Amino acid sequence: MCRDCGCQEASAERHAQLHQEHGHEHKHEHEHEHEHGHEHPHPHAVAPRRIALELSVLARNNQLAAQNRQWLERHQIRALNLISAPGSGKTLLLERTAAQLRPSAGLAILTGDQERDFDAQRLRRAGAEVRQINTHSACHLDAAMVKRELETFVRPGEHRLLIVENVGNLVCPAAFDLGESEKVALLSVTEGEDKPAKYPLLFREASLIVLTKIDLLPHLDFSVELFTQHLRRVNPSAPLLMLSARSGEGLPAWLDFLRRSDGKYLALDQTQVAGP
Amino acid sequence: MHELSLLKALGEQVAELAQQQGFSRVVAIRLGVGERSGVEPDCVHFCFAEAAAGTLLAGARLELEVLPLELLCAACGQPSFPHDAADIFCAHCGSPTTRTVRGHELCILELDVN
Repeated sequence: MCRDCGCQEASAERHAQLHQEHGHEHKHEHEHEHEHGHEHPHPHAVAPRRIALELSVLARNNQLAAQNRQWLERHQIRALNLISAPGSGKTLLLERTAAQLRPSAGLAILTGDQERDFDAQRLRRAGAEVRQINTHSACHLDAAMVKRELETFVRPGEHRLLIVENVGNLVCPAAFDLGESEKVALLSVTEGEDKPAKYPLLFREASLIVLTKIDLLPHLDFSVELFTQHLRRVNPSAPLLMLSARSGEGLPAWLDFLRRSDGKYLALDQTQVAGP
Repeated sequence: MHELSLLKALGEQVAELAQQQGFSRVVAIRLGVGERSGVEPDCVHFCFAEAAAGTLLAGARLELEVLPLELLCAACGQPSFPHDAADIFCAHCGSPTTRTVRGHELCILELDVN
């Protein structure tokens, strides 16, 4: 007996006819029992039609990212997506950055972590205007998370530069477009020279590479030359900044990078820079 | 990478398509997995049944096609097919000004539907 309609019809043709007459709608399952006990193709299966596509599974994220990008560009807000492994020094660098700028300079920060708002607290204490995004399970921020903040936190006209501190991770953030103007990759000198080779997508996509914690170089065997070689193999052109947020070495060049307007953004208000 | 959550996103997209294109069941789905997408074909197979349960994809036959890494050179316009994701130089003219046009994506290539 066919499970779909309870009929005893063994003939495929007759069965199909019956079903048409009764106007059945079938939900097919792959397995059903036929009491006559031999295998045959399901008599009332309609030949499936083929739909050819090339629909990216990340299409939804890309769509939202494009919307974010449009919104930011319309308001001339430059947005940087800061990506690195956990513990490379993103937050400290941003604390030192915020300390150099007065609140009205126009910097807004979004910081992402799975849990807790430690980073937002630190940045707020340093004088930054900041929102914490908790992803709970996701290991990267996505365009939807950023979109929500564009609608509620970033203020056109007042904010000129948005820095998104992504979840610490060298892999996934590089693959999820947030709508940023540029990606910035950070790597600390304790992480090893071969990271650009091991994580090529991030280092290739980055418009700026920042080597952090250079104050530790005397204590390490890290070769800047070897690192540069690995880097240039995947990204021949993006500028490399070397700095220490802790000692302050190299920070002026970082601030210069942040102050750029590229002719299409409102630059950080230069009169609001507190110190060197 | 996150095969299960990617497959769930896939399920949502298929549901949207079903509304637009008027089908209620997927018999077979062919996914293109970029060579350097970070998606592991084995993991996709492993997660598929779970991700598909209760959706239009339940019971669908899954086929995976690996999409090789392909670069397009801005200097000479020729495609290159590097073996190595770190190799970004054009195989024809040696220029580094290449763009990845295939190999990082996960996409639906074809659906057989009812």
